[in-house]
Amino acid sequence: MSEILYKILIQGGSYLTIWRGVQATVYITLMSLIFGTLLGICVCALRMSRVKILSVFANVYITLLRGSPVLMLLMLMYYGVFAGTDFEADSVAIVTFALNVAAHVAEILRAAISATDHGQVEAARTLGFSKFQAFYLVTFPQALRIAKPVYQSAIVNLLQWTSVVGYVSITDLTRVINNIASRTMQPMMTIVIGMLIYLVLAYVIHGIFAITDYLGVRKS
Amino acid sequence: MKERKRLGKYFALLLVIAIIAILPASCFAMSKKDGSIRSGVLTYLGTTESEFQAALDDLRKAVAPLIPTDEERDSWEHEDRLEGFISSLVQTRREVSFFDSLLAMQMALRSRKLDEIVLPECTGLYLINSNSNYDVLFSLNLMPSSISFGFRRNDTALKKEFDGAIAAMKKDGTLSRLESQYISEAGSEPVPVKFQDFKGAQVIKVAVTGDLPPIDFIASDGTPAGYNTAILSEIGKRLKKNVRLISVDAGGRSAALASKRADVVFWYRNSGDLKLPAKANKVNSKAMRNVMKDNLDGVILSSPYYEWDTDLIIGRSN
Repeated sequence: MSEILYKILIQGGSYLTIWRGVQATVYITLMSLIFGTLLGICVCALRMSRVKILSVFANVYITLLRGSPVLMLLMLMYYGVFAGTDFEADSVAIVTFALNVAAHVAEILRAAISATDHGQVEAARTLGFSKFQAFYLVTFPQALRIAKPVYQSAIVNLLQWTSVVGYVSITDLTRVINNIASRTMQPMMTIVIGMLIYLVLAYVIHGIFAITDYLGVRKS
Repeated sequence: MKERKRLGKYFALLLVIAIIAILPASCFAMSKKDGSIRSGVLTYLGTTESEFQAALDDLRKAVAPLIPTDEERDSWEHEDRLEGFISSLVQTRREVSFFDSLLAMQMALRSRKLDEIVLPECTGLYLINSNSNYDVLFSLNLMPSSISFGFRRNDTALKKEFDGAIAAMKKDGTLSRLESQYISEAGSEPVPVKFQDFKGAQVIKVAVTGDLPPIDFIASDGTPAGYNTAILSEIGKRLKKNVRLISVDAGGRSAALASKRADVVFWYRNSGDLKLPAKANKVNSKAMRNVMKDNLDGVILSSPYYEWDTDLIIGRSN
């Protein structure tokens, strides 16, 4: 047992390779999250727009992106759309995941905004708040609170989706784990270790949200 | 309202029918049928699982006359008799599943979704030396196989250069030296090789998967190593070109080649005819012809740089 663990984790600097895999996974997750959230806000704004054509466009985008497997999209982007360009694999992966996350974020935000009480906005408007003020001061904080838990699980999902980037020549955590399993021929043990690392990363995300919740409570 | 309710009922009924129609395929995949043995095979690019299964069933019919009756038993020459796997195949039908990666196949064997897996001899030996849970069930000298480099169909110039380098390496003994160093006499894990840098020279991108040790292998520091890289380093030196290795998941190889993300991939193939005992019937079915020929769309292959006659059938130790 200890010999197998040594082979998997230590031998020949294996832990450094695992660390590099973790770095790649976290980097892709984080960057896609940032770009995806920004794009998601824009898509949500389009989706809720009163201009019919914009709202239909956003709806088609959301349906397409949420309805297609992210691996297929990634392969299509890397081996198709960006094939003739100098874009590195990780940039293409970030673009792909950002596009996918944006669709999810847009729907999360829309659902959260719809869940707030429209009567409050009307009340704010009668009190002399501008449209923007009513949204920013009344709807937005409530929507944010509603969206937070769903957004948190969307991030954990994103972390797990990135495990397919091995298909486009990126050596992320999953690929490192697969390589180690092939090298040591001990797939069960190696995959359990890989899962534990993913679990730790997911709990770090949960932890960050828990801290923001705690700080939020103290502030209020 | 009534109309809508009725439509709703029809829709629900359709859904139930669709679910029932889908169920058998998904629920009973890889389930054992009529006592057959479930075998795992690494995906043969260019053929389908059902075609491979049909070819194997044809083979089974062809070798059936090789079971001697009691009267024949004494009079038959040794080479007419069935040994090992063929004998087992006559007795029990094999149900084949394709796997893109050795890893998934090994896990299916471990979790009893498969009863045996078929691997090239060197990979099979690497597996049983690294993991005591597995053992060799049969040695199979039925189908000569080889590994070649695969190029895009229009990349004939590169193929020609590789062919030239492989022929030269065969001639001066480099190929057999590397083969014994990295495969037959390799004690443990292969060490990464150094690639020479030729300033300003053409860069050839080669996709490696790390999934077929000790041929295609990724070392503990994350660098591709093994026989393939040793061959590539030698070819790079001879052609005075820079070789850049990119690590791709096995399922992404064809796409990498077609989209020019990679210029060269490794191609595992049959080479040569079935080696059946003299008394066996000829297998000339369409399925077998399709499995034996390389059905390659958009890919041309170099001459083989590693050939083997023996595959190992590996099962759980117990």
